[in-house]
Amino acid sequence: MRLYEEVIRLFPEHLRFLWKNTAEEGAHLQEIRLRAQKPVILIIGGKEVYPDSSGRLTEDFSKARILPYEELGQILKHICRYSLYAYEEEMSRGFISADGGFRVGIAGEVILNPDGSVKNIRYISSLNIRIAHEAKGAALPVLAYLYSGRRLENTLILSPPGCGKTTLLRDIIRLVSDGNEIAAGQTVGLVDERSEIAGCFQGIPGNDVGMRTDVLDGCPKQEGMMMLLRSMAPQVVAVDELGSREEIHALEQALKCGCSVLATIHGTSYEELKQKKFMEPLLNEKVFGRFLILEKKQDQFLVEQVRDRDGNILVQNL
Amino acid sequence: MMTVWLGAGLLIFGAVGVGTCICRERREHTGQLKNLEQAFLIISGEIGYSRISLPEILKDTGEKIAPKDPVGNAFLQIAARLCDGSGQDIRDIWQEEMEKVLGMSRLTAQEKELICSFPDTVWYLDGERQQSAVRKFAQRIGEAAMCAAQKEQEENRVTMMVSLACGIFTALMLC
Repeated sequence: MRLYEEVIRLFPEHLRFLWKNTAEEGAHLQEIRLRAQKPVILIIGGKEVYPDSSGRLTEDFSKARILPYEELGQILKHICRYSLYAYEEEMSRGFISADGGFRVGIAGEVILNPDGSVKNIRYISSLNIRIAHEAKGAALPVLAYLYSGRRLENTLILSPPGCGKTTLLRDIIRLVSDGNEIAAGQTVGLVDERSEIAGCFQGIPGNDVGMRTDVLDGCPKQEGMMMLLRSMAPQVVAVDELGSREEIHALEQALKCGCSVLATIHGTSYEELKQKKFMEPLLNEKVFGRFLILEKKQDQFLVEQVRDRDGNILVQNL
Repeated sequence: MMTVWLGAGLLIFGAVGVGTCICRERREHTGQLKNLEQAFLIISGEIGYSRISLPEILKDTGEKIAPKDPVGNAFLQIAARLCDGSGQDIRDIWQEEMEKVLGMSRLTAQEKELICSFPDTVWYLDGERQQSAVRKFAQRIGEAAMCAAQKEQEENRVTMMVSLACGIFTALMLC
């Protein structure tokens, strides 16, 4: 019910009758893809579904409703609470955060700064609304493997896109922050560069990331980690999607300060991870005590392997 | 004879009093426009400085001006309704809330229409352009206030002269 309301709230009042059926699919709804003058596409349980002109969902592409350009603009203005200017910076990164912790990807004509960096996007023609799913308890099966005694191991979650990395990380953060059967709650510093983990809207986390979690929303990871270390004294630092040498360098700083690290990275296997050049220093020093490798089976993510710092498999198919 | 003079004096004083009341009402009109101009200048400044969303700006501005200006309460209501998840269009909300406040004001139909058109200025992607659009909107209200002030001066002079003349004429007639 909560998700239904959060999804329906994405749309202006006069359009809500068209999105009622879509919102009812909330629990399985993954993406709403809106393109000007093109059919509306929903990704439900990994499959494409199309709302027709009355809002009913169909798998028949020919019955799909074509989205008028005006409607796209109305939805965007509504999501931005009629304050597009306030999202200028977020738009320059290609997405905005909506109420409910949803991330809305944006595409259109890009405006560049004199230095070549992206200033803004105008003539917005596509929106991709990613429906955030909180899966409380998703991390419980792996929790016991993340601790050595009462100390949280530095953990790297590895999976291809759409397999639940962020969802699992969010729940681990919650359990670590609130405390669990193994250890008492710890202060977590979360750098949520793309506003996907905490789903902050106007600074307030939309998702439960625990009572001892400090969130730096929309902040680049390398700067965010350093800021948190200087100001918030976290016991655990959490980041999503490591992808550059600078981020690895900041992560090393966090480790030097005695923090535990929770991080995710794109990849399909442990072997592929070892091929990533920027990860070499951390892997050689055996910084990560645990590797969680995820895969997707029948619309549900599964922890395929838990490996220790030497790469030995501790457990499979959790 | 003394009573006659006293009566005449009271008549003239009364007529001037009526004139003064009419003038005060006109001054209220200009004052309301000036307050509105100030309110929109605050909004424009907030857009430029803090870049926070419009509901937040309306809430902050409303809280600042609400004690002395009923428009502040309208801003607070609009801010609350924009965030309550009802999904109503800003134009409808603005119109409804402003009509409640402006209905009791001394603003002309044209001026009310101008105030109600504010949501048409809020659509820019660029913060600077948005700020400038709201500033221009405030300037238009400022211009209306200047016109009202000029008109007020002329009309007040005429009103006072007519009311004084009426008082003298009536007193003479009765004497």
